[in-house]
Amino acid sequence: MIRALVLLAAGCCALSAGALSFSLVDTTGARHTAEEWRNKKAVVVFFTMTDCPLSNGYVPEMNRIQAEYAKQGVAVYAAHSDPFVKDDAVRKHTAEYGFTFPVLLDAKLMLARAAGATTVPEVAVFSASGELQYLGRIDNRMEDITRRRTVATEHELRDALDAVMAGRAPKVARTRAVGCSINLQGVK
Amino acid sequence: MRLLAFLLGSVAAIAAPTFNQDVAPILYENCATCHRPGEVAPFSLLSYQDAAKRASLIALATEKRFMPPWKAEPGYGKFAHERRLTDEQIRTLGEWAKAGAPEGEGAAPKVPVFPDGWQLGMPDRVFQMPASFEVPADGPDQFQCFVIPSELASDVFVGGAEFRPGNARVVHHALVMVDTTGRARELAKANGGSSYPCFGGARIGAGGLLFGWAPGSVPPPVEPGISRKLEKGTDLVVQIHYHPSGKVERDQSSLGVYLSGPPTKGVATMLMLNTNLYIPAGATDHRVKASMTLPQDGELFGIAPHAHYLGKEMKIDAHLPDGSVRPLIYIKDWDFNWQGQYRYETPVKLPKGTRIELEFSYDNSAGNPQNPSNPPKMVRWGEQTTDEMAVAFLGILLPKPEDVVPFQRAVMAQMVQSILTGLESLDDLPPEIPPAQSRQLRTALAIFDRNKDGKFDDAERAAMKLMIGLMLPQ
Repeated sequence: MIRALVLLAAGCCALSAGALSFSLVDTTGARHTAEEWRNKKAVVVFFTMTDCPLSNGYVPEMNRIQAEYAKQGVAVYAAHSDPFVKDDAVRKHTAEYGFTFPVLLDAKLMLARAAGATTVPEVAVFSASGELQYLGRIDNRMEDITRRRTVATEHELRDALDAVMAGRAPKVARTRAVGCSINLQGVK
Repeated sequence: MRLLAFLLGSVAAIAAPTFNQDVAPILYENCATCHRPGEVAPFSLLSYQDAAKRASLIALATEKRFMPPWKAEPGYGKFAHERRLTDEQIRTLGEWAKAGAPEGEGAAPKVPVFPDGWQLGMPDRVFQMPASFEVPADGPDQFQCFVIPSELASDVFVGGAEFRPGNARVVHHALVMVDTTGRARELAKANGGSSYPCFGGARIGAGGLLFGWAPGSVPPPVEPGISRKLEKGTDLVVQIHYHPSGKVERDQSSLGVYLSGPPTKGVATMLMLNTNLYIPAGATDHRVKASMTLPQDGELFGIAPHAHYLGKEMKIDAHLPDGSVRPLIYIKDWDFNWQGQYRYETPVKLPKGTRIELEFSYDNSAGNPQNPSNPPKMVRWGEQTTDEMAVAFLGILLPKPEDVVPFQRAVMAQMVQSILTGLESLDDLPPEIPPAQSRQLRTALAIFDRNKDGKFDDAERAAMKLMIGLMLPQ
């Protein structure tokens, strides 16, 4: 019953994520808040987990997106969204997979709840003022968990970023992400 | 409306399945072989916490029958080690996830104990890849053939074999072949090392297939009666399909073999194929057939259908001389990533004259997410990811070891005839024909190319088929 209410609550807030505030530490110990978004054109948050193969398989693409868009004024983060994995394991994983941007330790799932993310790898694009512009898959490489495209033919994250940076609302604001679920129900 | 759904949800929750009572037994029986620490699956499903955080993924993967990976439909052949959940079990997992993955009262059932290392015990010989192979962080899947010199002092008989992936995160499946021709060694040398890329096949002829491995497969028991001869000087060729994992990985896999005495029965591979593929761009259900007749009594012990990314449905039936039909396998939703080798629980007796019929279908439309060509293009037979195949390997037991050579010869003649039916040029001879036979065949077929244009017209083809027909063993 309580779980259901929490779910509904998370669902309601995701619809208007304006004026987002958070304070999280990354795997190097540096603290990050929404303050540092102010001078950015857009903010990307990838939701990740250490042991989801679909999420891990996307790390090189996440790094490519960071390399292309960071120099255009986009802030890129990963939010590690699994309460049951110890911080040390996340640090080790971050080094192993070579994330080129901050991986935030978000065991309380603050960012996932704020964005309404339910899956990894899912990605949220926020405006500098913290409004949610896009939420969903990175591209359509995974048609569903049973079918992987040989070549991705839709690149919704890149399209959304291009739109936001050009001052437009993304044509596609929501897509369904394919992967491992984020444990929002608080299963212990 | 929302309130109603909410109330109904609460009612359902009262009778919801729990991990300790209902879910753990299903997971331990069907998933834990791979989903445990150190094994091939990406996460463990042994503890309540491990399983609970994946509850909805478990529900989805089992509902779609993506997991456990088992593509053969029930009722079409009875296979050993079937990994298939019942509808009831799938419903239980779904309801458990919906109810919020409750742990339940009491203790969880005991976690099963799995043997460490080699499942069949310490092998007599272990063949390891000569060097480790680097798998890139991402990009397309890799298919690499590794040549392992057997370095045998004398001929031996192999009664069983087991494959151990060196790096379970990236090894997706493996085929082990025997090469007596030195061809694989040449290919590896030309590639500058001990291995070479090989998506569609090892290019050493298909007769030497020894053994296949996929995640979760149980190694077949050691059977001295059907041992295979491994000649001195032979090379083992291991074709491995790698899935990039997101970071650069290295793999050095091994093959363990169990020696035995000479066989008391014959073991033959019947290769069924249709190389005359013309799959039009946009076709959603293009059908392809092949058939072959058993030249003598045999028992079918295993079957492995094969296609690439356009493959959709596969059906293989046996039409017995008494008119009855026995379904051998039916795959409704072919997935290249989960191609298996299926062993029958009891070998299927097939009398001489039994006609084996194969029918595959292909989806070459843009609606097939795995279509490697975008936009779709006309697809023909070939080894590349963008080509297709229509193949089935049938493992046949024959009464005596001496039966193997005449059986293989008769089957080869049928295969050649089927290939010639649509052959347009000598260059279209598929690599499945072993190199020595291919050379002979080219020399022989050149005679029929009367106008010496390197191509075959209808008259030339008809003369060729007539000749081959006369040569077929009666």
